[in-house]
Amino acid sequence: MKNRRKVSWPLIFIAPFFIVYIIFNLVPIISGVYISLTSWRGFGALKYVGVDNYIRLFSRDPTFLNAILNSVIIMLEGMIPLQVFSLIFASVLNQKLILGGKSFIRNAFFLPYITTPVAIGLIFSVLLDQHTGMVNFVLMKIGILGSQFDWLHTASVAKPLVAVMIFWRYFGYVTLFYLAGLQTINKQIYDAATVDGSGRVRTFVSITLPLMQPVIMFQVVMGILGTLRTFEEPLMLFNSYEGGINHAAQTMNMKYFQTAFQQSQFGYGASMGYVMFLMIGAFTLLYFTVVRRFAGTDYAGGSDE
Amino acid sequence: MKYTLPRIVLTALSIGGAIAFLLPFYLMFVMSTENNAQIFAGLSLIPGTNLLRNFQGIGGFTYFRPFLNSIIVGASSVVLTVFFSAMAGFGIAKYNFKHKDVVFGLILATLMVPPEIGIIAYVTQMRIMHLNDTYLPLIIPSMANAFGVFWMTGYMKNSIPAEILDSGKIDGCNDMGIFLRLVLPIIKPALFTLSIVSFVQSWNNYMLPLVLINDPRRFTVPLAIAAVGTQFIPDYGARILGITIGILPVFLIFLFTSKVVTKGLTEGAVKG
Repeated sequence: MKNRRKVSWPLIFIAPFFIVYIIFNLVPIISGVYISLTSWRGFGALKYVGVDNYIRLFSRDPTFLNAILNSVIIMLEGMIPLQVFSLIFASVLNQKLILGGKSFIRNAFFLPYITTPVAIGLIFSVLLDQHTGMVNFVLMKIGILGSQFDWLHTASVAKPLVAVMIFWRYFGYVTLFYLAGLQTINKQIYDAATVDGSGRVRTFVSITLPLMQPVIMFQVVMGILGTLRTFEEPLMLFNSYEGGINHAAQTMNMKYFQTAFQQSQFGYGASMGYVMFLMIGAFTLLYFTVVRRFAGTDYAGGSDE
Repeated sequence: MKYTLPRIVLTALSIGGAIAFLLPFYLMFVMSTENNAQIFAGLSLIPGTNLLRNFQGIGGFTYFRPFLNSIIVGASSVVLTVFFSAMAGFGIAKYNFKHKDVVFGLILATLMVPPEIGIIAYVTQMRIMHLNDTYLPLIIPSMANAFGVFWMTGYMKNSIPAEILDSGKIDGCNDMGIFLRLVLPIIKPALFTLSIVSFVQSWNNYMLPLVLINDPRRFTVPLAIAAVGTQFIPDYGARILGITIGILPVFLIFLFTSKVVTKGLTEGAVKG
């Protein structure tokens, strides 16, 4: 060891991460590409079929295209209110407008985020049950509904229900995330704005939003990635891989798992995984492009300090 | 602080919203204590009388078997995640080396790759190695927790003095010794936070056990919740009790560590 004193310690420290990631994530991802080019059903020999699976996806499987569309709609219906209301609520919390009960408020809103997602879907299925669910009881008592509404077997409300679950799960987390971002903004900037006669709304639009842009961008990207992958909540809410009546809330991941593991179509299912991956990547890129066009910054990723 | 009208309204709205967010949990708790007649009778905010019978309905204490499994998986995952994340974070935060930005960028990029993309080949690999229906495939990947590395790097940048490498060398430690004997004790709070967060991550994980564990004796908690929640049990309250008990451990952990967890998950990522 004495004549080889240049041991690269950082390499030794970081290498385990990459070794494990390569063996347990990257190798499956890459070898799965080959599976996606076969008609394999999980046992026996692999029969190479070229890009047949990919052609089938787009030309002969309307439920897959439906699942893509569903995921995108659920993402938009969930994400837009989530980001807007979280940012507003974080600003309220940051301006010391709350008189008391702050830690109760923080923890109550945060609790759904750490709740097992499987349980979230089941909780909503219990609350929305046509005959025993609290939602129908309350809505009928206050006269909004005349009779028991069948929430879980009505296609038109399926996606909004999933969006509500997403909102409930993430609202507290995203709010605290934005609050942490707001607290890094220098107070003197706000004082200066107040001296210049800038009102609350004006200050929010022309000071807070631009300064928060990196944090918002990071949060939105992670949100897009997360909500496009929605799986457990609708699976448990409707108790099926089909996501309710007429595949109304079947997401990409539900279709992927249904095809691969419930129907044992490993080859065909694998091809769905890669299309899904490309879709998610495309959406992230699209978002980056739009933000850059409108905000004129080359920011890309977490914040530097 | 002045009690102005807007402040009173905003405070009332926030507390009302917080209660509304908690309501589903409370209703689950109430319904898990009721018998079928009480549940069908409608909205009740007072617990019923059927808790013990419902508990027998989900199999009594045998229902806790998956909890033991989840604790085994979770504890092992925590140890691996925390140790290897801290080590990688130390390597990135306190050393300068060629292409460091690229290395850190790659770790961040793995955060953006949905882990289920390669799951078919992963399951196949594990079946070939006869590791399906074991916990190893659920545990080993925690050695490469990108979130953990990202989080630890941010923490160590600010909390480990730059002189620590030199001071350790004077004492005759090599760098691994410095990490084990000097760095780990300093970052104890961070190790604790990441432990809690990664335990919750592991506890809530559903996709991997769903496709890897078929033996009900080896079910983890989300599999057990899903089973009890979707199968037919004559007592409706028993089903609900099964779901409620399943989320209780994470709630208890959160009750005692809420400050650490909320800060760790939000500020850590913002400041990283």
